[in-house]
Amino acid sequence: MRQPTQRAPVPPGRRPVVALGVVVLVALTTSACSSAPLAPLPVPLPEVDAWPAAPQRGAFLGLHTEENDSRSLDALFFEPGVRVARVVENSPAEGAGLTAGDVVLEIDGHPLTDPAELEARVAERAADTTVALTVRRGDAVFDVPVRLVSSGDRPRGADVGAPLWLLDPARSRAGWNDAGGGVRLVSASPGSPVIAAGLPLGAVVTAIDGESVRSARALVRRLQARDPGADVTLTWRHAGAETVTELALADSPRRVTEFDVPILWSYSADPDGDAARLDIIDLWLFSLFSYERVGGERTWTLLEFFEFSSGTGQLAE
Amino acid sequence: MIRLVLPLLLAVAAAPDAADAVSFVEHRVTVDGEIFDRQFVDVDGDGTLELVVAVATRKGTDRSRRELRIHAFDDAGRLQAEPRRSIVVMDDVTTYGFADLRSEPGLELFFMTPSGVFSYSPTRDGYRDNIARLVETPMFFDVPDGGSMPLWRYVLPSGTPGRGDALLIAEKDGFGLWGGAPDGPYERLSHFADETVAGALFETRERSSMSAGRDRMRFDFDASGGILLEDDEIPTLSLLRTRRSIRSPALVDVDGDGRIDMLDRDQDGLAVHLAQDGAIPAEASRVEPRPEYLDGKIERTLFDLDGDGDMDMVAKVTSGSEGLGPALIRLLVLINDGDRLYPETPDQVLRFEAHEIRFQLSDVDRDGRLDLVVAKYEMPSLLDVATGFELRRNQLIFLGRGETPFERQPSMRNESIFDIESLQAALVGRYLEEDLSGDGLADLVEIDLDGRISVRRLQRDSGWFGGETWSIDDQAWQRFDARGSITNLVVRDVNADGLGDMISHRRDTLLLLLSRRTDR
Repeated sequence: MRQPTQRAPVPPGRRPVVALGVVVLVALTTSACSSAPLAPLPVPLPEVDAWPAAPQRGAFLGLHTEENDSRSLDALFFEPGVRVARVVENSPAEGAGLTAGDVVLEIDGHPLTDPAELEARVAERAADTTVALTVRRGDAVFDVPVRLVSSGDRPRGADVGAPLWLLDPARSRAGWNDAGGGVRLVSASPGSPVIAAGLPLGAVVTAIDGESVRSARALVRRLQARDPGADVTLTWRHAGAETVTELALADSPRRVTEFDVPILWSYSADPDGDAARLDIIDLWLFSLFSYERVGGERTWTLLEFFEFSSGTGQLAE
Repeated sequence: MIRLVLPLLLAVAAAPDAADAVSFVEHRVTVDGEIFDRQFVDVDGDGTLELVVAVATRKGTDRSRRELRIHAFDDAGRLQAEPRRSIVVMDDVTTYGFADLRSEPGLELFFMTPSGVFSYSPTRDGYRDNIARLVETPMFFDVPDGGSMPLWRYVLPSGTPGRGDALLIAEKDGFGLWGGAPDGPYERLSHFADETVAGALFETRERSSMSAGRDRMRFDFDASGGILLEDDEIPTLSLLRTRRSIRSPALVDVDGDGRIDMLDRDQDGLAVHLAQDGAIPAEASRVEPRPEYLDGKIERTLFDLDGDGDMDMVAKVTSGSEGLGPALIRLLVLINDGDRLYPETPDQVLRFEAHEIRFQLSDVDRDGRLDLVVAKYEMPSLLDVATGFELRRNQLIFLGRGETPFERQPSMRNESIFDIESLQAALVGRYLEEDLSGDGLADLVEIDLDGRISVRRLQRDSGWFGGETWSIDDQAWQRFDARGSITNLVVRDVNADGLGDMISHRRDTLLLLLSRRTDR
C-alpha cells in the first residue's frame, strides 16, 4: 500500500527579505552588498552508538559517598562513617534531606566505614522498604528514615550520559529523544516546520528521506547537515499509523549587513540587528547625513555640525 | 589481451576504497565542573589503554574537589560511559602520575604532596589500606592548587625484576632520583644539585603549572617522546607575579642501550647522564659543548630518526630576522652516532626563507621511517600590505627515504593563500600524523577556531614512469561539527584498531571521535 504524502507550507522564514528594488539597485550600481554568512555545516555522521552502561540492581538510595578521611595525605586519618560526596537529584536521599558533607555513621544499626558497605546494604534491600540512617551533620547526630525505591525508578538524567532529549533549534526547531526503533518528537517551538507539517508531539520518526534513523543525535545531525530551507521527507508513525511527510526545514531570514554605493550611500548593520549605520554623501572627512543606531540609542547627524540623539537609557544612582 | 586486461581494469575500478569501511563514533564525557586533563594509559596492564580524566567537580557537592576518573574500552573498542573507578584526590596533592610501583599487575597511581610521594592502587576503592608512602622529603612544589591537576611524567621504567619504576622528582634543593623495591619505601639513588633545578625553561607541547612558595611556575613536558629544548625565556601571561621556572631535563635513551638516560643543559652545552646500575648518576657522563653551527634562536627536538634506538635531534635555527622581513630558518638534522649527540657537521640541512615554520615528524607513508612535515608561513611585505594582505601557507612533506635522513626535495607541496577575508581559514590546527581512513597513509586533521574538525586525505598516485605524485584532497573526507578545542586536539589511536582517533576537550566536555572499522 502506498503511503500518503503531504506537502507542508513554506515556513515564513524562507521569504526573501531583501526588497527587489534593492537588488536591482545593487545590480545597476555595482556596489558592494553582503549579507550575514551561514556557518558551514557538517555532512551526516553515522549512527551514534549508545554507550554501554552497567544496569542498576536492587534498591536505590541516591547517595554517592566516600571514606570519611582527613582529606590530606600528609596527615591521613579516618573517622567513623562515610561522607556524602553527592546527592542524586530527586532521589530518596534528597527527599529525606541529606546533603553533601553529611556523614552517615550507621545504616539500620550497622556501623559504616566503607562506602562499598553502604552500597551493598542498600542493594540487598527491597524497594519500598525503609532504612534507618544515623547521620552526623556538624556536631549533631540524628536518625533519618529513608524509603528506598527500585533501581528502575531512579530519576533519569540524574547521572552522566542520560540526556532527556536533544534540541535542534536550527532546522526542525524541535526536541527529540530516543524511542524504540525511531526518534520521538517531544517538544517544538511555535515556528517549528515539523509542527507546521502536521507531526503531533509524540510522533516517532523512523526515517529521513528513506534512510532509517535510530537515535535522536543521528536525526539532529542529519537535519543540521541539510541546507536551511531544504526539503526532507520524514517517515513517522503515530497512533498505529505510518505516514510519509515532505516538509521544508526552517531557514533563518537573511539580513542585509552591508550596502555601499561609493560616496553616495553607505549602510552597514550587525547580523543580529543590534546596530546599524547609514551615511549619505560620505566625503570621508564629513558626510551630509548620517544615522546610527546602537541598541535603543539613535543618533542623527547633519553635516557633522548638527547632531540629535535619543535613547532609552536611564540614570541610576 | 583485452580479455585479460579488461576484467583487471574493471576489478581495479570496482575495488572498494578502504576509507568506505571506516566511520567515527562520537563519545562525550561531560562533567559537572571542569576538565583539567585527559590521558590514555594502560593502567591495568592488559595491553589496551584506559582513559583517565582529571576533573574538578562542584555541582551537588559540599565543596569543589578533584577527581580522577578511569574509563575503560570494551571489547568492541567502545568507551564505557560510566567510569570504572573514580578516585577523589586529597586536598594536599600537587600532582599525580602513573608508574609500576607495587608487585601487583598493572600500574599504580602516585600522588605528590609537599612532603613527598605516595603510591595508590587504582584497582581498589578508597584510601584505607591502599595508600603507602614512597618518598619523604621536602618537595619543590609545596603549594597544592585545587584549580589544577598536572601530570608528572618523569618516570623511569625499571626493567629489572624486584625493582619498581624510579621517579625523578623536584625536591626543595634539587632534582632527586628515587627508586627501590616494589611496595616498599624508596631510597634516593641520585641527587642533582640546586643549580640544575633553577635554570632555563625547556619549552614543550604539554604545559602544566604548579606552585612553590608564592610563585606559580610553569612546568613543561613533552608528549610525543621527543622534547623541545628552548633557549630563550618564554614570556609569561602572568602580570603581577614573579616568574620562576625550573628546568625540565629530558629522560630519553641517549646511547641506545635500552636504558633511560638523562639529558640536561649545562650552560650552553648538553650534559649527558648515562644510566648505570639501575640509576642515573649525579655526575654527568659527558658534556657536549654547543657547536658553532647552532647559532641563533634554537629549538631542539629529540627523535629516533634512524631507528637504532638512540635519540637523534632536529634543531630549528632561526636567524636573520629583522623587522617585518622573512627570516632564514634552518632545520638541522643531527644523527647520534652513539657517542655524541652533536656531530661535527649536521647530517642534513634544510633551509627555508619564511616568517615561521612549524614541523613535525611522523611516519606519513607508514614505511617505518619518520618523515618530516613542514608548514611554512610567509607574511606579506609592507608594500604588499598596502596593496592587499596576503598570507601564504605551504605544507611540505620530506619523506624519510634513501641515504640521507630525509629526501632533499619535498614529495608534496600544498600551497594555500589567504587574504584578509579568508584569514580565519588559516587559523586552524593541522595534524598530519595518523592514518584515519585505513588507506595506509596519514591523513590531515584540521580543527578551526570554532572547534569544527575536518579530515582530508593524503593521496599518492604512481606515475607511468615510476614517479609519484602526492597531494592533499581539497574536499574534506569527514567533517564533524563537534565543538572541540583548537588548543588541545590530539590525534592518536587509542582504541587499538590501527586507525587514528581524535580527542579534544573544552571546559566541561571531553570529546572523543573514535574510529570504527565496519568491514570487520
